[in-house]
Amino acid sequence: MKKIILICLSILILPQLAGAALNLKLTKGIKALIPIAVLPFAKPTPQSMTDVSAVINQDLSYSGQFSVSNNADFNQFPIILSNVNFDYWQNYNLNALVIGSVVAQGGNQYQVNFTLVNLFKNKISDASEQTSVNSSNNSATNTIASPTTTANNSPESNPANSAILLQQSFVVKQSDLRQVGHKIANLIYQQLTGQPGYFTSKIAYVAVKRNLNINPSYSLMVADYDGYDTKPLIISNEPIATPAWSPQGDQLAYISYENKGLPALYTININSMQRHLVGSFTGSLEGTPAWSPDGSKLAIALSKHGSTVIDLASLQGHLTPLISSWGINTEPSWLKTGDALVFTSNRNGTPQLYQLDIASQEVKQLTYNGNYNTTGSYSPLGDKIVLVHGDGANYNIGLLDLTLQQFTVITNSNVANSPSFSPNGNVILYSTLMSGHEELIITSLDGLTSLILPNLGNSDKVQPTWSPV
Amino acid sequence: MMRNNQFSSKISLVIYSSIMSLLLLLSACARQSPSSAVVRSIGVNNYKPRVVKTTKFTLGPNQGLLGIRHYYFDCQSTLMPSQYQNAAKAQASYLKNTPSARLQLQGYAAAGGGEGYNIAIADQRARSVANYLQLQGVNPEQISIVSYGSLKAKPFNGQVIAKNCRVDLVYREI
Repeated sequence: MKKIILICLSILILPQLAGAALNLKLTKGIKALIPIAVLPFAKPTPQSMTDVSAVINQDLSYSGQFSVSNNADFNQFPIILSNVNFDYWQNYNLNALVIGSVVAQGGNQYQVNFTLVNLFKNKISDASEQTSVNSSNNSATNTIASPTTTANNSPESNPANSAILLQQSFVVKQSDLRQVGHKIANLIYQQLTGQPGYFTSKIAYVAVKRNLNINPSYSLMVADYDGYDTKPLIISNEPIATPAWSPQGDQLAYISYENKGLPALYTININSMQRHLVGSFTGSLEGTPAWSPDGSKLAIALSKHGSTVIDLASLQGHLTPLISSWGINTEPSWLKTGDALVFTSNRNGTPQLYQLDIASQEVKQLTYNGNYNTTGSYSPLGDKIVLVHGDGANYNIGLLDLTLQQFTVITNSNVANSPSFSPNGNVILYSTLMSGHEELIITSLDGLTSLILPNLGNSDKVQPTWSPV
Repeated sequence: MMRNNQFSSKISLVIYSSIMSLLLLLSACARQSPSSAVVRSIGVNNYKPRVVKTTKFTLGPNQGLLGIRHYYFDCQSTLMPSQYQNAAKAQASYLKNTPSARLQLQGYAAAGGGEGYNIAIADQRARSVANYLQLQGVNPEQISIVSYGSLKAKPFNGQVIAKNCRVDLVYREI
């Protein structure tokens, strides 16, 4: 009950906070969060440039895995390990401390240094835990290497009995500082949770601008996972709908009504902006493409013989029937292995989620909770499905745990839509109406930690979908 | 399907939404005239604005029953309401007497819930009108269907907007 009131209050307060990146944080969950602190990095003037430690702080704070301390509680802000006073930090009961600096090297080159300091070993002397935490040091270091950054194993790093869990430096341009913050957050997340972070991933959505006197405009957008660095790919005054990521995360499939107001299926490369018409299917297309995990085909919904069926379309538009029945079959979403699809069907009267097993061609009903469950999407491991659950008056995001056979409703906004999992499956992205506009929210699976993506102007951000990588 | 929320505290919202949807409808009616979709892509490669000209929508017949171009459905149903049977019969007569006429049935659904499901529901509404016209003897080649689902509707705000559960009848040039 307290949680509900908190969320309601936060939503009421929202209009005043519009524009701020961080609006709502509820971390009073039952789940144990890893206590850490991310201290401000030393940085050169001008102070207006990206605050790398703030990026790391935000990433970790809203991941649902960490309890990140308020830096106002501290009066020591070391930036190198030798200045860390372990006696001081012992008072705060933290597992780890993130410290670092950004150093201008001239010529638009900046060196970003960070250290993840182990405070846990001082808290409890547990040698086995210590070893296992440090053993993943090398693998985490290797994944960071990329053409735009340099990663160095620190000579100070000593896995045997070190205060250092991670220590690296990167040299980047000023415009890449935000990305480096996300990369560091990924490394820390991996180090402390044992799972990959998702902070360098992308999201896609459709932004709809509505004004009274002119036609609405629809923009196909891509952005960083946290709503920064938005990029419009296509703008149209006819609807653009249901974007879907390719398995490699480099392309989107989507529906556009730009040609005579009739739907057609396109793909677009988000880097080259190259666009490809898959087909218009003589106006029978009903949206919701889903890329097969091998990238060769798209499952799409089509109107056929009075019903809505799901076919497989090759990238050249050649169709093969996949799922059909009386009534509606739509909103396909693939299991990452390609072995099964979840889809929405009203074949038994009300819209429910069903699963098609590709090998056996068997169809099995998955949802029985209430009369409305649609828009299912698998977790990366395929052990869970997020969906839109209607209770007769409201729509919320539901979570179906296939292993535990458990169904929970994880939002209480009553106007939620379009859920999808983060690449590591630990948080979800969805849209909901707030202060007059549809906004994007990232929330933990227990619904307790939520990040509202920055208000990006007077548009409705709809049909969000998280990239698979 | 969703039914209307009964909370009295949301009455003002209902009124607001109704006014908004009416305004939207009016503007939609006003712009059945020619329009062209402007599609442009922004970013690398100096992408040039992509302009696509749409086929002209003609006004078609407007006398009496023929002027009824919005068929409002029960939001829990995809069956054409019986109150439109006479209007649909009049359209059928016109189409049979005017073999060159081409009618597009545009299906719409209320916002909220699965977008793909809404597109399918709206398609079934349009199909219900198409079936009725064909039962009256209209040549199927004169009828086409497009479903917009709730893509043109304002986001779901807790109230089902009944005016969005409809089929629009739009005459087009060949």
